[in-house]
Order: sequence, then structure tokens, then C-alpha cells
Amino acid sequence: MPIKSLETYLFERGLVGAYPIESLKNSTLGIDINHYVSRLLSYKKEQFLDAIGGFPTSLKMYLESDLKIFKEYKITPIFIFNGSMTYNQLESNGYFNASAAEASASSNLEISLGSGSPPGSSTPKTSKELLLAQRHRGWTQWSNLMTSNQSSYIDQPIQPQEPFRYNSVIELKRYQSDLINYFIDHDIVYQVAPYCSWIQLAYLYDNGYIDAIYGPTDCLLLKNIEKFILGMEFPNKDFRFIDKTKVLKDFQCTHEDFIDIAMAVGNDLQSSTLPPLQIYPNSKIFDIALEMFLSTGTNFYAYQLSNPIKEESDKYRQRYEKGVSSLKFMPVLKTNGKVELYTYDGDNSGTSSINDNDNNNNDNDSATNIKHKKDTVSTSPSSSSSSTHEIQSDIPNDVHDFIAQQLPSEYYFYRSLGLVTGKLFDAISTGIYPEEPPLDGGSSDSYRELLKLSVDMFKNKDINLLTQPINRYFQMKQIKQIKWFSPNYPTSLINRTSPSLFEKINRIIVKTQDKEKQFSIAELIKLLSESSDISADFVSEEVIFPNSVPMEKKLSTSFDLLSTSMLRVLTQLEFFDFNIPTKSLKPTKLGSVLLNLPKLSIDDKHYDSILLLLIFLKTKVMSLSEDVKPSVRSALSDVTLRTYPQESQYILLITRILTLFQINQRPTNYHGPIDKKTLIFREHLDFIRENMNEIYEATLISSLTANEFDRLSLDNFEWQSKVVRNMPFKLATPNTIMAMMWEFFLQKYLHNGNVKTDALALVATEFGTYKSVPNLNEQFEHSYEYLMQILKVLKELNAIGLFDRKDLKIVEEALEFCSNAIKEQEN
Amino acid sequence: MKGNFNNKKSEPGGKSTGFFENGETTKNFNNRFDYLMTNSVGSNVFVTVSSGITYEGLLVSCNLESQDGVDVVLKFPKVVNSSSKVDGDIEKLSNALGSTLIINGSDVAELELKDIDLSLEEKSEHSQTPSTDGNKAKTTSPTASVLAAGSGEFKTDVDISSRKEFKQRELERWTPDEGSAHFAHNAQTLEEASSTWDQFAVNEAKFGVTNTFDEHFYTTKINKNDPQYRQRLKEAERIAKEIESQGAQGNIHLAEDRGIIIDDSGMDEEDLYSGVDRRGDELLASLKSNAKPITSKVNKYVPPTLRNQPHHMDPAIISSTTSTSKQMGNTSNDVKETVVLPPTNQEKVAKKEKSKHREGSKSKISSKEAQIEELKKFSEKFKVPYDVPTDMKDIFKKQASVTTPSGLKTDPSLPPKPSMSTKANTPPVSKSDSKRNVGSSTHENQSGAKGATHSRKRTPGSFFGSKKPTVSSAIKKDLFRRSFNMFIKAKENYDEKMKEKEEQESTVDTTKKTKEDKVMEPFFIEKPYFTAPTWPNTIEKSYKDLFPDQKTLMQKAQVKMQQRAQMNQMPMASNMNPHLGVGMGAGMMRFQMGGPAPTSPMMNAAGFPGMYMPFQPQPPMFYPPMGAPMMLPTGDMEGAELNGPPSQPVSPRIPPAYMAAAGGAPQTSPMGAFGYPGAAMPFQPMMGASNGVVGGGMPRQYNQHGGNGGHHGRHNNYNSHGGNHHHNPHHNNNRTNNNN
Repeated sequence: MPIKSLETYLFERGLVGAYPIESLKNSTLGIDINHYVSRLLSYKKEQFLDAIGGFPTSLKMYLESDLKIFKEYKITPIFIFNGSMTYNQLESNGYFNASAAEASASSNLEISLGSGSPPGSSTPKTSKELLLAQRHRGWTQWSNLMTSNQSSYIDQPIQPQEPFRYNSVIELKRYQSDLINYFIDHDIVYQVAPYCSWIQLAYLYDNGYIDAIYGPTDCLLLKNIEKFILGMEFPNKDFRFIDKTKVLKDFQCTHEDFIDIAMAVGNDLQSSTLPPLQIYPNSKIFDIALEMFLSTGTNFYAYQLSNPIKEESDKYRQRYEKGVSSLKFMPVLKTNGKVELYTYDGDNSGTSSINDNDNNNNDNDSATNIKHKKDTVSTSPSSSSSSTHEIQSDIPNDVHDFIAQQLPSEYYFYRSLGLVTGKLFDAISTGIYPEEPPLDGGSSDSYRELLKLSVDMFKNKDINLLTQPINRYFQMKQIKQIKWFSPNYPTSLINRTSPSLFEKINRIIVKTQDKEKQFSIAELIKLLSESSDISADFVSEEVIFPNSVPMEKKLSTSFDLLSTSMLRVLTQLEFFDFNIPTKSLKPTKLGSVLLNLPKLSIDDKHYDSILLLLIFLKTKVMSLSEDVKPSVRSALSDVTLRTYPQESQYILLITRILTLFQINQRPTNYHGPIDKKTLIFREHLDFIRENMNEIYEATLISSLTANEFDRLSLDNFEWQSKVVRNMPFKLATPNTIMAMMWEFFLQKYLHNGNVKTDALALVATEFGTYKSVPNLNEQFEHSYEYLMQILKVLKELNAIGLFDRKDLKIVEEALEFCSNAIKEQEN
Repeated sequence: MKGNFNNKKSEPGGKSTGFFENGETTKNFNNRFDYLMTNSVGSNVFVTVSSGITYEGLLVSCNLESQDGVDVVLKFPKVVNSSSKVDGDIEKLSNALGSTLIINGSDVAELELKDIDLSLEEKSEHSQTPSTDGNKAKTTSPTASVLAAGSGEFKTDVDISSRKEFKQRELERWTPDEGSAHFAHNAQTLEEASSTWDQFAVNEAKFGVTNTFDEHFYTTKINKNDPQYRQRLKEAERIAKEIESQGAQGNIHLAEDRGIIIDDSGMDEEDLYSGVDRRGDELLASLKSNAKPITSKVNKYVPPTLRNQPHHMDPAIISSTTSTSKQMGNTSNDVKETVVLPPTNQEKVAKKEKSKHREGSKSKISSKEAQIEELKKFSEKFKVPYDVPTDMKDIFKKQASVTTPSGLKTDPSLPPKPSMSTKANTPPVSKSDSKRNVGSSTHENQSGAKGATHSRKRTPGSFFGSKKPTVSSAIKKDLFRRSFNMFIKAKENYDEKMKEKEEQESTVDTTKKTKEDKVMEPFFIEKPYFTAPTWPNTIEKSYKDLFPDQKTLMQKAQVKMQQRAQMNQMPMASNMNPHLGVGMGAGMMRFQMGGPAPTSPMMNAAGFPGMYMPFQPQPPMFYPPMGAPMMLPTGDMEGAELNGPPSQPVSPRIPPAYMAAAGGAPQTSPMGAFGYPGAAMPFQPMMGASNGVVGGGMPRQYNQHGGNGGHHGRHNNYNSHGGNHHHNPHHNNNRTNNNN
């Protein structure tokens, strides 16, 4: 979050300069992707995203056109993602109670749209609160709309009136992996910062890796950044920048004064507005704070100190102090691959130890040359501000209090590549694994049951795998799962098991030595199913992690690395039964279904979805035909439900299975019908996907840190393209569009005398497919094939008693119904 | 010309139009539009009204002032629309039309103007043509034409002067006449013509004009019979040679004057005849780079001390310091070409001297050694940023083998000194040399300084200023390949250590044979469990201890306020005001000002010049808003909490009593809630003391504001709490105060 209201104020005062993009020609531009995306997807775009789930496809469209311009001017963009949050950020994001307060408030929170609210009437709300409240409002509006149209709605789906996103920034974390994959595919450099992205950018800038920063107004807080780019106007081919000297001069304040003001009004590192500013409208807050400072010399820190109400004073003072301190001591990923605190006048005695290391490590590095050059330039300005040096150079002993506990640099390195999403890292360093409400609000019993099951099924294992290789402290540390609906009853996660999980699985090894092979679940399953003796082929006589094991015996290709981890995950999830003493690895009933997939000639691209579906069925929280409890209004009309109860049941089943099918659509801003019931089911599967991703990441990291893989064999770009790019379960679960298309197609088909063309035409208009889906027919056919393949799998499951006979029958009938509808054209 | 004019009349500064730049531009566009409309009066136009029907007619008049679009009056209107489906309607309409049709501006959907003459000349000429024909008067004189027009009306200057014919004829390619076919195609200028051209002879032959030209009308006749003629001629030749041998110093204008043919490919007219020559620095560098093997480094290098020096940005300085001893004697000279040069040892001396000079002028910035080092680097890395024509490269190579490079250059402030021709291998005149070195130090410095920061190209912007990216982005991108990777970096580090060790040991080995001892410690990647959950620290202190305590903070704030006050020429005298409460109250008002509307008619604050003074430097009012927010009619929670049960609304009319308490005795208990509790008092004496000093320094201001300021403040304060909540004026006034 940028410094509140500062940006508009800067524009008002004319402190934002403009240059043509051309003047950045041939430069390297460091981009804070949070800031960048917040510009791309302003609140008017992707308004229904949270009602359908999935990746905001229009983002790719914007990215593509922007990258084209970068290319035209030979500008090399370096995208930096945010990493973990600092204490203040965690707090303001409701991390410590899984947004419980925000979620409960959301139902009765009256959102004041825009800034037109009278001052003093609204308490400052966090962005999380607004986000949840807007979703709540969207769904309420939608169900009201459905109710009021009950009588008239037959087969023409109702479009929602209320957006599901308003004035809130898109949660980039949800799509980080999708973006990273996009960057890898387009050969774009990215990096995930250990903590704050714009401070990482400052480090990169300081060391000559980038020539300019494109970041939020928070960059003004940085001492060493003189100019930075605030916004790019790609259509006009120019950009807006801020010159700090000019700004401070105009504000008539020093750098320290500016920090004081920024901390009081709220910024990225301290996002709450401190007294006495809370009573003023948000849109003017910086203006007012500056006025106070100029006219009465207000020091806002002193103000917090003098607050007579002890409790409040403490709270605000701490936030202020943590904010300032995290600005001064922010961990960044340094050239040498280590994550260290960044105190940017590093030539000081206090930090010399760190910097000496740094220099030693870099001696051969070409970056050092640049660095030296830069140093000579920057020494003169920094020496003038010697008065603050003592404060910045001394690193206090409780940095973990305002940042978070330190994890090994290796972990941060994996995160910088995008190999891990980092939620588990945060859980380890903060002691809390928050479960926040899903997109639909998460009121269904089955979802909550799923949360409960996930502790044993996934989280305990994740934590064990990740804490085992690191400092003993973390193995003892209490880590709790906190759920938004009952924040006061946390579930403790068990990080210690004996023997450790890694010891139980480390003999499972896939070793093909095939350098060319690209990992996918399908490839692995095929490999496994082709094996005549799985135990002999995939269980190693001895462990391969000790240093004494020669390199040849270790894993060397990305396929082997990823397959080994996948097989270990499948073993942990009881697809395989591994007996350590006898060294036998056997597929369980469920596993045998998986191994049978190649025989069923299942399309390679559906393996991931099928695996997710199998795990969902394994949890048994809800059968495919079961309604959600408490019941939610279907998007089907009452007429349909009443007249065609059997067909409605079919439709329900089909839509559920289809939530795992991603329609092939062009980037668009989706505006069309929505369906909460389908979304709820999607959220179940998304939850499983996320947990699968986490357990996979944890298993992979445990293997990497144990030294089972030659980590020196890959450079950063190879790590990204060979390992990160091929990891499963990373991409966002498909959105509900295909499912809804079928839903409304079939409904229309039922009501319209079984005429396919009319039904298809309805879908085409309602979903606006003329621009997003060029060949609608084809998509229907593809999804139909997918449904047929799922049917085969379900039959298999039924054969081994894992899928209910009755349900299978319904699915079969439903598919027949579908095939009648879709094949009708031939007549 | 088509367009929707409905929104055309946007007021400057208005936001109604889709098109809006600024007031000036909008005005310009409006003017143009008006001009267009005025010019189109009398021509045939097509008007489409909002119902979709298009009328054709003679534009008689239009109302440009109308607010919603342009009202149009058409003569002899016709319906020409064919898009309308009902033909019958059109007929009806056509029949109903009179000879004049007035269309309201709001109905005009589209106005199509055809064949509008916008050039005055043409237009008036057209009108003139018939009249001249009619009178058969073949005169072009404006007055005559006016008379000839016979209208008897008075013509303005514009009418008259614009009456000249402007007809464009088809352009034809020029082909030489049969007779002149002997002209070679490439000899189209006089200088290049192969045959001599005698204009006089041609004149005589063609036109029978005999010339009476005698050059001695204009020049002194040279007496070739003079006994001293040969001697003089020799002397003149010597002088001429001397001048010419100086070369053009890279000055294209000079070179041209001297008839030296230079390679001007790649130069435009501006470069040749108009632009400021900025290549001095580059040439200077080229001298140096010639002295050493040219490195293949393409990137321009800017010596660090020379970056960020704004005075080098001044083109004036650059032009005045531009100087090179580029030699232009050879006809095929190229920019890269350099002067001839002294032996190398001399060159070194010169260079050293030079750097001394440099250092002398810049000694403030850095040490001599560093300077020399920088210069060396500079000279190594610098390359003239010119594209050398490929055909020049050979020539240049040839010459380079003949000439000796030199680090010398002429002093730009001195008149051009004779420099050695490429053929001359003799050492230069020592006199000029030393002179140069003495006199030129500072200038040289600058010309070298601006070095690469000024390339000849005009950059489209200077976002990067002097810190232009120096490393190509491709290289930088590649840095991300291996940097930030702890494994690779650790390995590199280890390899280096091993290498060092090996080197050390190999030296030891020669004396002792300890080869067996050399146990290589294997390389391990650091195990993650070594990392502690806490971050490494340098002091055993909490981050909280790094913050100043309240006391120091306030002292600082005090000092700052005073500085600010002095800076802004605020009368400190108001500090003498014993009525603390007044300041207090004013401060409170200040904090209420945060209303959403900064512009308020209640600007009366301006009438109280001393108003903000009283509370500026005094501690209690730094934090007055504790109490203040409760004054807000909006009922702020903060204030309520501070002052007791939150549910209890506080009357905005409280003040008089409480003000008195706060003002009269700031140290009493009610005060504690409003100022710095406890801390407020200790500063009172300090403030008093400093006031004395400052106040003494500004007796006039003291007189002006000392007493009254307080009074005004109180007055105002009273008002604001008495129910008139005019907070905003303070806000505004405040800002203006500070901006002054």
C-alpha cells in the first residue's frame, strides 16, 4: 500500500514530472509488480473475478502490450514480487486471526463508496475488510436479485449488478505462480523479494543491477533513491516520475520529517493511520499531516508518546516504531545469494562485517564493477547526512520483532525463484497458519470439514518436512492453524514426528538420467505404470543425501528431481504403500486407479485435474451429487428446478466436474452470469490444489536442502525454466466459466424444446463469447471429451469400491443427457 | 470537413470536452474553428440533423456563440439524404423547404464543409480574376486592381496585398537542353565543373553585353614589376601557409572558409552551419585513445568526479572550451584524425602535468592519485562516439602509422597555434607546448570533463541525468543469471579461496615440500540449520531504544520550529505573549481545520497577520488536538475517548472556562491532557530565553505583532469556539504563510 493520499497530492502540487518512454531506451527497469498490477487492473477491471475464480485473464493482455513497448525501446524489465510480510503488514492484513474480525465485520459493514463519506463517520478500514465486505455485498445483491426475479426467470440467466471487487487491489499472491510462469515463458527476469519488493528494488538500484525503479510512492521513504517512476502511460508512450529532492523542497521538510509524516498517515510498512489524523478523510490525509507539520512543527512520533491513554499510545507507538525500524532494517536478497538486512549507508562501521563479506564474495563479479562505480557517485550525497548514521548502522537485537524470524537463506533463495509460494515459510516464522475465507465466504460445512482434515493430511507433513532441515528452534516452535470462523480455537500443528517424515520417504527415488524429459504428472504415471516392479525400480538401497555419496548417484536432472518429489508426495497421500524394512513400494487401491490412467487413454493434460478429483473424493467431505450445507441458491431458475428435478441433478454433477476444466479463452474482462454454487465447489478443489502445492513444495525443498540434488548444476534461469516451470499444482484452479456455460446451455436446451442452436446462441450472447471464445462449439466438444474421460475414471473407482454406485449411475445418465444435447446438431 | 461540433465551445479549463489540453490550447482550437466557420460562409455545406436527414445549402450565417453547438442558416436548402427509408417523407420535406433554413445548434449532428478555401490569397484572387478579365486591364499593381475593380469600395491592406495569383503548376523533372548536354551530371556546381566558365563571354555571345569589369576598381593592383615583388610574394606565401597549416581545428566553418574539403557525410545543415560544435571533448579523448591501443569498449565512460556537475551542462561553456588540434590539412581528413605529436616520453610528462592542473582545480573533491587513476581509466576506456565511415578506416590506419599520437591539445582560449602537418615528423615547437600546458589547465579540464556526458545526439530526455545507464541492459539481465544464487556464489567464493591457497602454497612448496599437507577441504553448501531464527545484530539493544525519547524529540522539534520561524521571517516576538492559552486555542483551531473543503469564503484569517505566530514555537500547542477533535461537530471518537466516556458528546461551546484554565496555568491538571503531559513545562524557560534573543533581533516585528498577535489569536479563537466553525481559513492562511 503506498503512502496514503500522497499520490494525488503530488499531482495536485505538480510534483510529478513526465518524460517520454524513449528516454528510458536501453535501460534496465526494476518494476515493483504489486504497484504495476495495481495500475493495470484498476478497480473497474475484472469486477466479477472473485465470483468466478481463476486467473484474471485480462492481466495477460495488458502485460503483453506493455512488454511489447518495452521491447520496442529495448528496455529490460525486471519484475520484483513481494515476499513475506513484516509484522505491521501481517497485522493490518488480519494475518494473526485469519481475517476473522474482518470477515465477521464484512456482513454488517456499510462500505462508503468512494471518498465522499463525511469525515469522522467512518472508522478507517483495512483493505482486507473492504475486500471481504464487497464480496459479501456482491453475493447478497445477487441472491436478492435472484429472489426478486424468481417469477420471471426461466432460462435467461441473470447478470449480477454489484461488482465483487471495489477499490481493492487484486490479491496478487493468488496469481503469483501464474505470472511467474508467464515470465518464464516470455524470458522475462523476475525475482521474489524476501520481504518488501520496493526495498529490494532499492538494493538492486544501489548495486547497479537496474537503472531505474518503477514503484509506489513509498520509494520516497528511501534515502538512496533520488528519482523513481511512479506510473507509465503506455498508450501515450510516456511515464511519470518523482524527483525526491524536488518533493522535499516543495514540502519544506527533511527526509526524516517526511518519514515521520508518512508513518503517521500510513504507508506500506505501517498501514494504519495514527492519531491525530484518523478523523480526517482518507483522501486528504497527507495534505493535512503536512500542514500540521509545517504550521505547528508537529512531530507525530512525539504525538504518540504524549498520548495520555496508555493502551492506545502503546499500540500506535509500536506500530510507528516497527514501521520506521522495518524501513531501516529490511532484509533483502543480496548478490551473494544471502538474505541480509539492508542498511543503505553501508559504508558505516556498524555494518562493515556484513559488507565485507559481501565484497569478498563478489570480487570476481562483474556487478562489483558497477557497484564501485556507483559507490563513488553516491558517497558524496550520503556523507552529508551523517547525523543519522549512528541510528542506521547499529542493528538492534530484536529485528525479528518487527520483521519476522529469520529463515535460512536457502529457503529465501527458493522463494526468490518462485519455487515456493511462501505461505508455509510464513507459518514457520510467525507460528501461525491462517485459513482465510474462500471466495464464496466459506460457509459450507464440507469446506470447513476439509480444513480440519487438511491438518493431518497435509499441514503436519509440510511443517515437519520444512522444519526438519533448519534450526532446532523451529522444530520445537508451536505453529497453529487459525481459522477465520473460529479464531479462538486454533489447531496446533505437529512439527515433530519420529522418525521424521523425510526419513520415511527418502529412499523413494526416481532416476531416469534423462536430461531432455520434461516433468509432468502424466509422464511420471506412465513411467510408473510401465514398470514391472515398482519396488525394485523406485526404491533405492541407500539414501543419497549424505555428502559421501558421489554426485553421479544423486539426482541430476529436473525430471528426476520433480518426479522423486511427486512420488514421495503420492506415497504420503497413501496412493502408495511404502514399507521401509522390506523396501517394498506398492500402489494402494487408489494408487492403482492412478496407474491405470494410461490404459484408459486419458489425455495427458487431464492428469492433474483427475489427481485433484481423486484426492477430493478421498477426503469424503461431500459426494459429487450431494448438495452443499447450508444450502445455497442455485443459478438455475426455480422453474427448471421444479419442472426438471432429475435434469437439475445432472446439471449439478456436470458443473462440478467441469470446475476443473479451463475454457480456452482470450484475455477479457469477464462480465456475465455467475453461480455461487459452482464457485463453492470450485473453492473445495482449489483448497485441495493449494494444499497439494504446499506438500509438493515442502517435499521438494526437503529433498533439495538434504543435498539429494546437484544444486550447482543450474543457474537461476535454468532453475526457473526447468524446475519452477514444470512444477504441478502451481497455477490457479480454472474459473467456473465452462461449468456455467454448460449449466445455462442445458437449461435453455430443456426449456426450448431441445434445440441446441438456440441454447448455444444464448450462451454465446450471455457470456460474450464472440470476443473471448472464438470457437464455442469446439470448447463444448473438448469439455465433453473431458467429461467422458472422468466417467471412465469414476467407473474404475467404482470397481474398487471408492465411488458410490448410485452416484456413478447419475453421472452416466447425466453424460448421456449431455451427449444428446450436444450431438443434436447432426439431425 | 466533418466533425461533431456540439461540444466545441468548451470554456478554457472546463472539462466538458473529450479534448482538453489547457486553456491556451483550447482557445487556439476555438479560434481555428471560428476561422474555419467564418471562411466557410458562402460555400455549399451539408448539414445532418439529429433526425438523420442531411440538407445541402449555401451557408449564410452561423452562430458561433451558441452554447450547444452551432446554429446554422442555410440558403436554398435541399434535402440530399438518401439513408432515410421513407422517400415520401423526403419529398414532403423538400417541398416544405423555403429559401432559407435555420437549424438550431442542438439539432446539428454533423456539419460537412466542402472545398473551403482557407488561404486568403487564393480566395481573394478568385474573386479578383473575373474583375480583371472584365476590365482587360493587365496590371498587377494592387492599387490598379482596386481601381480596376471599379467597385469604389475601400479596400483594406489585406484585400489588396492578397490579390496575387498563386497557381501551382505540375512539377516537371528537369532535363538538360540538347545544347548543354556536355555538362557532366556530376559537375553541377561551379567549383566542380570541369570546364572553365566565363560568364562574360557567354553574356557577350548571347546577349551582346560587353563587360566593363576591371578588378582594379576594387582591389589594389599588384605591381609585379616591383623589385621587391618576389620577396613579398614569398613572405605572403609563408604567411598563408602558416595560417593554412594550422588546420581548421575541427571547425567545419573554418575548414570551409579555407577551401578544405571535409567529409560532411552524416552532417546536416545545422551541423555544418548553425549548430554549436560540441565535439571538442570527444576529439580530446580521441587524442588520448590514439596514444594507447584502442580498447574495444563501446560504452562511454564518465569519470565519477565529473558526473553531477551541472556547470558542464552549459552549452556556452562547452563551445567556449571546445578545442582540438585536429588537423585538416589533408583533403580526406576525418574527425578521428589527430595531430602530430611529440615523442612518447614527452607525452607522458605533458599528461602528468595536465592531470596536475586538473587536480589543482578539483582538489576539493578528491586526491591527486585518485584523479590520475581516473584519468588513466578514462583515457583507456574512451572511444570517440562517432561512426567512422568505413572507407575512412583505411586512411586512418595509414596515417596512424605515420603519425605519432599525442596527448597534447591546444588551448581553446588562445588563437590557434600552428600544429604539425601529418607529414611533419619533427617534434613540435616547445614554446607553444609549454604555453599550452600552463595556460590551458582549467579549460582543458572542462572540455575533458564534459566528455561523454554530452554526446552529439540530442537525447529525448534526461531522466537519468548524468547517471545514464552505462551497462547495456543485456549484460545486466545476464547478471541475474548467476547473482542472487547462494550456491553459485558460495562455490565461486570457495574456488577463489582455493586458488589463493594454492598460490600461497605453491610459493611455499618451492622451499619446503609440504605438498602432502595440502589437504583440500571439500566444498559444502552451507546447511540451513546454521541459520538462527534471529537476525544478526551489532548492538545489544532493542529497536525501541533507537528512537529518541520524548525529551530530546521535543527539544529537536523546538529547535526546528525556531529555525523554521526564522526562515519564514515569522516574528518570534509573539512568544513573549503571556497568554499561553491563546496559542493553545489557536493551535486547537488549526487541527480542526481538516475539513474537506480547503476553500472557504471565510478568509478573514488574512486579516490577522499575527495569528499563527503565537502558537508556533510553544510546546503545548504541538499536540493540542487531543482536546481539539472533540470540538468537531461531527463527533470524533478520538476526542471523545480522550475526554471521558465515549458516548458522552462534548459540547462545542465548552471553551471559555477551559481555555482559561489551559491558558492561565498550563501546568495544572487539565493541561496535562492537552499538551505534552509533564514535558510541556520544562521547555518554557528555554523558549523564553531563545525568544529573548530572537525577539531582540527583530524589534520591528515585535512591535508589530507582539501584543496584537495575541489579541488576534484570542479573538479568533473565541470566534471559533463560540460557534462559528470557520476552520478552513486557517488552513489556507497557514499554507500561504509558510510558502512565503
